[in-house]
Amino acid sequence: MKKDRSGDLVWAGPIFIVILVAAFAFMGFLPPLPPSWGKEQVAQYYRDNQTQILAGSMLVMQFSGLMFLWVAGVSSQLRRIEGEGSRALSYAQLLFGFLANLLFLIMTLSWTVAAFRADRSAELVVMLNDLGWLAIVMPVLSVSLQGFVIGLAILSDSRPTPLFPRWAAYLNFWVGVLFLPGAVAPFFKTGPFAWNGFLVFWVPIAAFIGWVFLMAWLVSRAAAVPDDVKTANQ
Amino acid sequence: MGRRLPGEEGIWVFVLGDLVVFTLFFGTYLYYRAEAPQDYDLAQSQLNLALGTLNTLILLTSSWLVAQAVRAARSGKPGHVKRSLMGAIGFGFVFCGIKVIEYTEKFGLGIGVGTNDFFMFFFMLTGIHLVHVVIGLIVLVMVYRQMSGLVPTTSKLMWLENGATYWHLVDLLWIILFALLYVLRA
Amino acid sequence: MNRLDRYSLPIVWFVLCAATLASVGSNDRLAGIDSAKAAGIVVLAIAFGKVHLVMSHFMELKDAPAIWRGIFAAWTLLTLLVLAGLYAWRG
Repeated sequence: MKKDRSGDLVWAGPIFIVILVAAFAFMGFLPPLPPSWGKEQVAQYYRDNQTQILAGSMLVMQFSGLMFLWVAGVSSQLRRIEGEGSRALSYAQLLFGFLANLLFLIMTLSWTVAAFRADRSAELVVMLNDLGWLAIVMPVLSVSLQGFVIGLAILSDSRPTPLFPRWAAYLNFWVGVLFLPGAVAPFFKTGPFAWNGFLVFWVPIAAFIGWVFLMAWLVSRAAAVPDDVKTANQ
Repeated sequence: MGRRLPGEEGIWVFVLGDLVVFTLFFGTYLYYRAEAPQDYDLAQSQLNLALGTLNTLILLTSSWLVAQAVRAARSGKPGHVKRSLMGAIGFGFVFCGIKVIEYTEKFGLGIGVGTNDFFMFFFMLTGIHLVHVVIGLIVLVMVYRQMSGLVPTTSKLMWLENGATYWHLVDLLWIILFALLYVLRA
Repeated sequence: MNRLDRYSLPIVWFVLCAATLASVGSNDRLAGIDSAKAAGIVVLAIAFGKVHLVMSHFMELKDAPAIWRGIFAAWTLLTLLVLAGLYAWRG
């Protein structure tokens, strides 16, 4: 039997996470630029840190493709659970994951354009800055649904020894809930629900990082289980 | 009967996780509240305490009916189970209805998420809780439809217990939210 | 199932409802007499007492293995302490 590669590929996700965090720190976006800043202040920041923002955005943009390997690894294990029947959950995971990764592209493209001609009108810089931040913190529901779909698939596993432990399903539901507050980011410029707030930025980003690592580990464990385990255990 | 946890362990992992999330919410609220307690009190006085109290009683009753349903299922009384679940679901819908009335009342007065910090927390926390209520209602309806057999099987009983555990979580989160948002002063 | 067990759920439900009304009432009384913080602590304590009742009786943690009972009791107590602390001593 061919070796299941998803257990190796899935570690591309954690690698991207390391690059992402490093790039954010390098751009000076940890903590995020406050949404309460005036346009002159934001434009000044982009002028002063032009090279860092261009380089950090470039890194994240180029390597965000790594996350697709993670998504593919997760879906290939979900497909094993679903078997030859309906593949709705593994397809759904693939699409939600695709959408989530597209956001990294939108975010970095906005910041790149903002920094590309940082000496242009401050109003345009602040608009592109807003676009980048809102793109990454706000469209959370599809990521939440991604977690719910993974959880549902894990619960539907009818093997005697499931590919994933059942608690992993509930952990995915929980992570889905953690992302939710991000949805309201556009209503606030200060406080815990603004894009630099505790509940919209810090909690979801910590949940996302933990989730990517945990799923990588669970997928590589599941991938090591041979396909005929069902008959072997009976 | 020996000591056992209702449902499966996973749902309890979820409950614990959600409790931790809400602890963060509660803590954040009190942290910000302490910076301007008078402003919060003034804004709080615009809440409808009667509706809030009523909703607390409604959710407590709903929770009780679900607990009743679990016991009836164990002693093999499917009719009992369905009636109790139906009642619990009904009260859940009433809770949502009252919440909607409350929100529209506030919007009618020109009060929204952006009005002040208190109403930011009020709409956010009760809104996130309302999402939990809606998810809980979907789960309860699914469990109710599963119960249409004669005697519940082990797996149906497990799902009933899972759903019940989640519904009680929704209830106890509201108990704390009610105290923090509607009652607590100064 | 003994008789007490049969009536335990309605009794718990009644206590929970009574506690809800008592917390609203006590807050009105106490907050009026210039001891709002004390009133608030009472409100928080009643709320977490209710939480403990829901966990023990409705969620049936009273019949659960000690480790789970311990974890949830610890959460209840710790959260009460943290929230009461934030409420009473900050600002």
